[in-house]
Amino acid sequence: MDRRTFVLTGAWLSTTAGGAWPWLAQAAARGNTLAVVDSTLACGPAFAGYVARMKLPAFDTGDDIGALWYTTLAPLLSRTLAPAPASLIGLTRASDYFVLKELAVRAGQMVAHSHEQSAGREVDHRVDHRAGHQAGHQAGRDAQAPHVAFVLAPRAIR
Amino acid sequence: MTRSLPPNVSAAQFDRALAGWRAIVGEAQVVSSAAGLAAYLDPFAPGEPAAFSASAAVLPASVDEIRAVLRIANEFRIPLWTVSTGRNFAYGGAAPRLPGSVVLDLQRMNRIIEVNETLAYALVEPGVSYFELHAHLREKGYRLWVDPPAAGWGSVVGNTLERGFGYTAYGDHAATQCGMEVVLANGDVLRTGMGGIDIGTAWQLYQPGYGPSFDAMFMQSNYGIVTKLGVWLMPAPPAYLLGEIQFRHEADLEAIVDILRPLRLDETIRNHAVIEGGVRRAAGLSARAHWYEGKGAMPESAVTAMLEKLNVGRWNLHFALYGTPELIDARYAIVQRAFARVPQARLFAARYAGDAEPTAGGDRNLAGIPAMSAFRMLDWRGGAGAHVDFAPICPATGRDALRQYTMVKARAAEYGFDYYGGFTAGVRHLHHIFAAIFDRDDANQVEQAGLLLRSLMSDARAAGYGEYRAHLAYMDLAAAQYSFNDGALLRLSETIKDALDPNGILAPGKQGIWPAAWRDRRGYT
Repeated sequence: MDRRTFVLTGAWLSTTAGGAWPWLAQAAARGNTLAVVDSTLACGPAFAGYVARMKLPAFDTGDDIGALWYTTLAPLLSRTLAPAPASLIGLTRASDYFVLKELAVRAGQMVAHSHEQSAGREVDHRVDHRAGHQAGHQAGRDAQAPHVAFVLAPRAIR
Repeated sequence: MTRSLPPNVSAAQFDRALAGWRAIVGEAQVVSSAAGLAAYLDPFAPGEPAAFSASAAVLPASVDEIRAVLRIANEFRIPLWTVSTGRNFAYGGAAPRLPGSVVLDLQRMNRIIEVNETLAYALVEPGVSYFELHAHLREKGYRLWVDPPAAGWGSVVGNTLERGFGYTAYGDHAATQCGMEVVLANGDVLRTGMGGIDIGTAWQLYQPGYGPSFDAMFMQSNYGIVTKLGVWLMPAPPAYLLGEIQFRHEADLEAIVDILRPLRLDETIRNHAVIEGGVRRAAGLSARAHWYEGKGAMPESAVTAMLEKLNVGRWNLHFALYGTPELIDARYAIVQRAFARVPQARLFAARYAGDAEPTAGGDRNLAGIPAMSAFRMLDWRGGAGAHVDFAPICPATGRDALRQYTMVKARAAEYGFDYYGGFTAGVRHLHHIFAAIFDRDDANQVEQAGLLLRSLMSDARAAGYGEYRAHLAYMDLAAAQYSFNDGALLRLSETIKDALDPNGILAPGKQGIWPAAWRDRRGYT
């Protein structure tokens, strides 16, 4: 991806990721961040291109987000606890995001910033287990395929 | 925001209790902020999630810490709601039945204490998930399989105590459990069965022990806190076959069940075979909006078109045969012959070496591999997907299965829901599981799902059926439906409850069992 394409992709992603974009861009720039992408989503390839440009390790959700978490993501995240804990960014379908968020947030290690986009609505959320707050608001309309753009970040880095 | 307190406890008393618990488990292991407690709300509540909110959560790491936590709970009469990992979604998640209870979250107690390959069992703590036990077995090279439920992130202990089920020959989790360690409300620690012999070696081998047997008493109950549990594991077979038979017509259900039952009774098919409805099968392959975007349940014409296009059946029977290739061949021939009499049935099968792994989530479950692909069901209806389940036991007869199916499908359509369900075959019974899938951000859908569940329960009871498991919101109704002799069964349950837990601190209201101290909190029956 050349620089112009990268800038255009970034602009497009900022729309796709909605309210989660600042958190997502920040995490992507920080390094020590893993990325998850559902390549079957319409906006999946663009997101995959973005994380490739940012040189982040990227993983496709595949058929089973649970298997990906337990076999790959959780071990990698726990290995990178020190000195700077890792973050997880992603673009997935809503069900996979739900599973990932439950796994990451309930363990008390992470806060979630997400942006859901489906036919007819957009919703931003922030979820912080144990320390933060939870919020959501409705925004305009979009007719793209349903997806969630998100960041799961260590609680210390916000 | 108003602070949530345990019922009948002042803020000052609660502060003292929290301080006491922090001294026991550490500051970070007591959750009392509203934000932290949000994680203990039921995200799939068929109503207002705050109706079942906790006032705090305490995360002990040992039996000794649990005993110390109990001392404080008894002192202040604070109800505790125990969860293993808190992922009992569709039935309440980690949320307590009595609002204001303190969640006793056992996720930090996550040791796999023992695996015995020779005698094929494991002893685990509540925080161990099916994924983790499976990974441990593979990593250490044990030739043993777990039997995962549809959602592999669940706790082995939690799922077993809720009488969950999986899909291999060890699918009846309550039946393959052997030996428990339990902390009673007064802090006493006991081991069931052969565990009573403290230097013994048969705790996980022979459940009854000597005298009365108590393991079943701690399932779906509020009589104690289970801190260790033995589970039998299936020896990895030398080979296996996974089969799917697709049936074209709705009414085929009757024949499927009547053909399957003798095959389960004579153990030709030894696994928990699944008769999956067409919509559920299709949901694994596509989204609803691709086929229908109107209001209400999908019309028959849309369902038929979808099934034809996706090339799946109105009913889809998934079964597995395990053993040597010779045994599999013999059993498969019997299965083929048996189902050949159903017109237009189509049979597919794949054979695997014992160490080979299928790729699809449902198939992986049949091969003892945990998966989370079942959660893709949340995308079926679009939006923020959620579901609440209706789970009646169905006699393993075609007539009963067709009757329950027809009843549920008609009522679901009335409330605007598709029939998303199926039957998992025990031997003499079927677990009929219907999921009302809704968008949790759509208040009307949430309300309709809640109303539908109540109607389904009433319909089923009127026809002589009862649920094996129910969401928090319906626990009292489900318990009240077991009403023989003016509710003698529940009276016994509550008599035992009062004897074991006179202060009523352990999970008041679980499965409709209310201790004397909180009996006035019983809900809709």
